[in-house]
Amino acid sequence: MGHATYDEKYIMQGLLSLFRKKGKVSDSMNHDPVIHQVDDPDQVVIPLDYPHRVRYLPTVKAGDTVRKGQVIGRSRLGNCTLATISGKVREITSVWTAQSVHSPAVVIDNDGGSPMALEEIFDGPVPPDNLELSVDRIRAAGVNPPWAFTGRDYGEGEIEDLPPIETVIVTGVRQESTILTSQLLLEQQADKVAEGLRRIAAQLPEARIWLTAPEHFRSWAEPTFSELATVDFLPELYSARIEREVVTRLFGRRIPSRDNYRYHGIGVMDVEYLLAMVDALDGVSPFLQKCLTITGDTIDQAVTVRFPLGSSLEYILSSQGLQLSDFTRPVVGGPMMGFAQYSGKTPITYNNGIFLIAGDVAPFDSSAPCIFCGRCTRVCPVNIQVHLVNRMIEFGQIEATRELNPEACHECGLCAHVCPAQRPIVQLLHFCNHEMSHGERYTWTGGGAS
Amino acid sequence: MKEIKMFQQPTPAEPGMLDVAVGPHTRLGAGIAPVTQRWVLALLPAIAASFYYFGPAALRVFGLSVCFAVAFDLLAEKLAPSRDLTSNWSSVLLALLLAFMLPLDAPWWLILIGCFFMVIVGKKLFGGVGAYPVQPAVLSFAILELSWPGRMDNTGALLTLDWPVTMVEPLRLLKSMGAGAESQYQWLDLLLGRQVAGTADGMVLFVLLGGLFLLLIRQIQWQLPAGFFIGLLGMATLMHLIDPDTFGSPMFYLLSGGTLFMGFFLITDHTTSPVNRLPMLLFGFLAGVLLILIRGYSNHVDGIAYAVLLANLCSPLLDMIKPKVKGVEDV
Repeated sequence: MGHATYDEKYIMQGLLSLFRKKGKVSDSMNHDPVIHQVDDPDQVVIPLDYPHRVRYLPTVKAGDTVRKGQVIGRSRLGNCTLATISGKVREITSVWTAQSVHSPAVVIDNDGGSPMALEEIFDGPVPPDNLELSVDRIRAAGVNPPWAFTGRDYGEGEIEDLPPIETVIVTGVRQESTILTSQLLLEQQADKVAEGLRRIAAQLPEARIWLTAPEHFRSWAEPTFSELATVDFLPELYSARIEREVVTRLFGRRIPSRDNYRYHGIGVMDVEYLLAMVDALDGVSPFLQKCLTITGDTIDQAVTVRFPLGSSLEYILSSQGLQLSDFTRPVVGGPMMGFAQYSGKTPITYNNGIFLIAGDVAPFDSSAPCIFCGRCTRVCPVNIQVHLVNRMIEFGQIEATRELNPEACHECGLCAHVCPAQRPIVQLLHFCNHEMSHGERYTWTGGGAS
Repeated sequence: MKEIKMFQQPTPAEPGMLDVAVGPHTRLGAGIAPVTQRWVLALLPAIAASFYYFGPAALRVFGLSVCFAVAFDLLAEKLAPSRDLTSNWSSVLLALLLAFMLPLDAPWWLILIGCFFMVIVGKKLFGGVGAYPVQPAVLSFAILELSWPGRMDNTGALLTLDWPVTMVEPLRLLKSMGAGAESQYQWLDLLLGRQVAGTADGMVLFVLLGGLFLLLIRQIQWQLPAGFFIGLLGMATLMHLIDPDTFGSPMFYLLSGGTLFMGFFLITDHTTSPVNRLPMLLFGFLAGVLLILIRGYSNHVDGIAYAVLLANLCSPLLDMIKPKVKGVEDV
């Protein structure tokens, strides 16, 4: 990504798109293939609540001294979250996480203490064919792959049993083109990935296993993994990499766009967790660190780092010599589906990328009228008549949208990405679906008059 | 009462403050004004050719038209504020499209009335840019043509011009003389715009250049002009085969009058054309067939206006042919 203005970009995109398929965002970025290690920060904040995934209950209290690798939160199923640095628990408070969720969190101040020894955490490798021990181990190590959630362990009520996993999809490529963690790990640790696929096959003998990989890995990835999993190669196009669409294609059936894959017996898992799982089963290390790609419009080279979970956004950026004050909008996740952060103090945990925006880049324009050009409708991966739906919602005709099925939307953002008027199309659709599922009457205040 | 936030443009964040916008965080769009500006850019070759052939007289029509249209737009914006801002250039684009079709000697009051119908009736009363059911410039042109047929006379407008070509509209001569009229014209003259037509809609080659530019930057979809030319040439061939004495050859219909202008600039209007791919093709096809039928069997000489209006009205119907939403029936 260069320094082209929006106008130049638009014309260039138009000219280039003649020779490309729809929905091109950007790929083949200039990137640093080395994964840089980030030192332990002075403080980590570890959220305990991941909506519709898991809720941990703290096992420590304010004032306790914890060591790196010690369990600080456990769910009712036994899934654990661990202290990623040694130090003193300052408080158990609530934070606003990078996914825009309010969550309880454990704050730990670094005191430079020694980490827990491996022998204290693990008692050697787990026999590969022992499913029960394997699941216990990966839960205790804080890895938590989809099959470590055997029930619906979120909320207050009974733990509801979930269906057994029949399909495992290991993603070796992320949908957002600015996130390179998975493909770098897949390339650099191919043998370990193969070992991980063998472990999955041992744990879930009935499951079909898929591995997704970038198209340009085909030459070596096909022979390496084809005996262990069905390898699916994805082109360098956001529209072809949207995770829900890939899962639909591989699974052969569509999951409702608001449903968790796990509720349908599908486990979608990143290569990074696969590697962490191998480490946990071998008793090599618990899951304390995560990779993340930092890139942005004004950053010449995307850099991938490995950081202790719970480090702040500010800290991760400063470790790479980047100052948050040079940017106006830090987006956690990719540019299409990521969340803009209001503060540099936000703890970064299970996030894969940071996309930095410098300068005054237009957000949506709530006063722009729709000119009915229909780009949104033509680019929609699920064929919603977006141009009709977004206008109906704007004028309060929520009921009328029902027959156009806006609930199929999974908010990939392509419609708003291509909209020449910069209308808030994704937000309108989200609003509509929210209103339909909750039946609350809101008024969209962005427009009203045409 | 709904809250109406108008004229609010995104403001730059204060230094040191983070900008909490919603995704997607990269956008190809740059606003409506750049879209219309690109259309205006695409019209420039034909405007330049018109200036080259007719001199300042052409600029008078374009200038008056743009001034009146922008003035009406501004007035409407002051009297009845809406989200269709004058700054989005849509009235400039519409004014130029109207001026393309007007005769060179159109008096100022005709242009004024034309701009009134175009901006106030055709656009603003229906809700502004993006909301009109038929292309406003074409609507206004049709109103003028029906109300002042004597003043909308292209042949009369160019009487004083000293061109070595037959100084009658090719389609008018075709209508009165039958297919024999074709021999009065040279293909090259027609192609280069040396034919009796409106101020600029007969500048075939230059309109084509602008249209290709729009196609190249993906402002218009290829299905629309493709459907149009297939429909036009197919229908013209059919009619020429049935009655070669009355109807001209397909190429003659293609190169005379505002055919290319219609195919690239009038039926491709974002608002009044369908959105889905197959409907776009059908819409273009329908417009092409209608144009030839009007030229062949009605009393109107050119008839691009009526073909466009009729096709525009079918656009919502055609858009009912839409792809099935994925993931509705199988979950």
